Amino acid sequence: MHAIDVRNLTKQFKVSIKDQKGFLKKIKNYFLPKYEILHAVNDISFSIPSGESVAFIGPNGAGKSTTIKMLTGIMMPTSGNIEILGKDPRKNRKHLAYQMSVVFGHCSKLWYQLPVVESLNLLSVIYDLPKEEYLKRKNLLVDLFSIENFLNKPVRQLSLGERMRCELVASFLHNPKVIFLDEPTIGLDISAKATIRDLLRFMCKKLQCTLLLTSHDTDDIEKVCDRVILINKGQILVDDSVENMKNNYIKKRIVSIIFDEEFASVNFDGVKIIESMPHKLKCEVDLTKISLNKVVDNFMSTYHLRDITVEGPALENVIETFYRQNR
Amino acid sequence: MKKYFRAMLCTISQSLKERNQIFGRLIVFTVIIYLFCQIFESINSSVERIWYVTMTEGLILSTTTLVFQIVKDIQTNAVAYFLLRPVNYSLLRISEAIGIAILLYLVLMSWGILFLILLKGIFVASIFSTISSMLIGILSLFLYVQISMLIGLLSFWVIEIKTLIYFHLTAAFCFGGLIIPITYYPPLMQKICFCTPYPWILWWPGSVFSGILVNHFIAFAGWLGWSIFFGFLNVLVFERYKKALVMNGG
Repeated sequence: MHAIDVRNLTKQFKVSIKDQKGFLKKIKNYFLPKYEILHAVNDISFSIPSGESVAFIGPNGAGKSTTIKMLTGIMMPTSGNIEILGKDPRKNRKHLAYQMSVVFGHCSKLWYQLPVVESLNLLSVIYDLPKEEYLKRKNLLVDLFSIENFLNKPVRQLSLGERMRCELVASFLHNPKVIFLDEPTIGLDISAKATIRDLLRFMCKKLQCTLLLTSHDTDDIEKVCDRVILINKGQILVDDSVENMKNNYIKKRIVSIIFDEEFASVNFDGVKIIESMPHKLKCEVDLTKISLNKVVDNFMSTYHLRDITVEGPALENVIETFYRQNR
Repeated sequence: MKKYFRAMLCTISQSLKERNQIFGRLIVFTVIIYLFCQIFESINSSVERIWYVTMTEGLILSTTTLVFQIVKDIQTNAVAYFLLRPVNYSLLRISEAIGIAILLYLVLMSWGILFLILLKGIFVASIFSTISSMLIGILSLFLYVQISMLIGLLSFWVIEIKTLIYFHLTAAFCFGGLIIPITYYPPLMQKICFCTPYPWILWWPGSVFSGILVNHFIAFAGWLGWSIFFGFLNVLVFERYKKALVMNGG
């Protein structure tokens, strides 16, 4: 059984057309407004097996949040089917609430005025956790997320990084099988981001929890997720593993070579020099024109090489290319 | 109900830690009682009047910022995230607000009674009517919270919600009889006041507290009727809001 199964999901909104030019047209539009149908999500299908971590990405207005809202059951789709753990989230929202968790980077799950521990206690009552199980779980999570030092501080006094760690503890408290994360590292510094990513990765592997993450930060995707679903204008453009995405969608590699002797010149079709020094060369190889093996072989037959490194494209560049192509 | 009771206890324990909020209200309350004592003394008004004002002002100062909390939740779409928890948003917020209001009310009124005895040296009503008025005050707070909840929820449709809040407060002060008991009003004005929910928030507990005779059966029926009415409206409005949220995402 898939943890998340989406079939032909569509969401349309009726929006009024506002940019009418001319005074009379504006008056007419005020009394007799015209509408158009906006396809926020347009016939998308995907499924996520239990325990998989998936990044759900796309530019602003692509339909990510609308999809997440439909998956969590707080928005009704125009058509299509959604199954979370085999159940329709619209009809079983309360039941599924015990089995899933949602973390929004911009919205707190904790009570602003209450100390963290009080919020956790209250959440344990809300999720009907038996006291012993709750205490065991709380102690484990507090230890893992290293929040014991600010457990008795009110949430309003915490830094953003501390708060996010507490948010994650609160989200994992009831042992969810599916977790939705909407920009969990937004506004955090580099070190806090790294901590959150490591913890997320660790928790998902440890708990065999299915994770759906939306983020504009490609490091979040690379560090936490196994698979990427890229959405734009309500349609899925790519549904592939992070590795495949990096390797298959940009056919260019950066090759850096350090020579023992002085390097003269290079003249292959498909190789563009980026940086050249007497003993060092950095070039871009276009794999559609020449294979990497051929380039390396050519250099090795001509020169003595001290070191050679091949860099794949950064995920950021891959995603940027997709966004540009589908603008 | 355990969840909501726990939420109420949590907010009470938290409010107890926020001493500044309690002390601030105590100072304002003390100043108000003292000022009204001086005013009523200068016009040779009966001592019951100051006891009446103590109760009504105590109730008003015990009310919370629930309406602003709801408005914020709606504007930031936080309500949608509450729907993802196995808990009823309205009941949770009402429990929290009632918890804080009851705590403030008990603290303020305990001090108010003590201060009045020190100031006037007379205890106007019987112990029984003081205790019963305290309980009636809690019922009043419940009705006030219900109205606040409704106004907060309406902020989804009414953009200029501050006007509605202002109208609600003014109506509570005028029709509820904040300073003068409604029974002192002209007959037509009295009839208008009793057609609103506000007398059951201020006049009823204030009158019992100051020893004015009240028909408790009618008063309770009035309170119950309005509580059921606002409870029903709150459910209706919240369901309409939820429907809009589910269809259009807020």
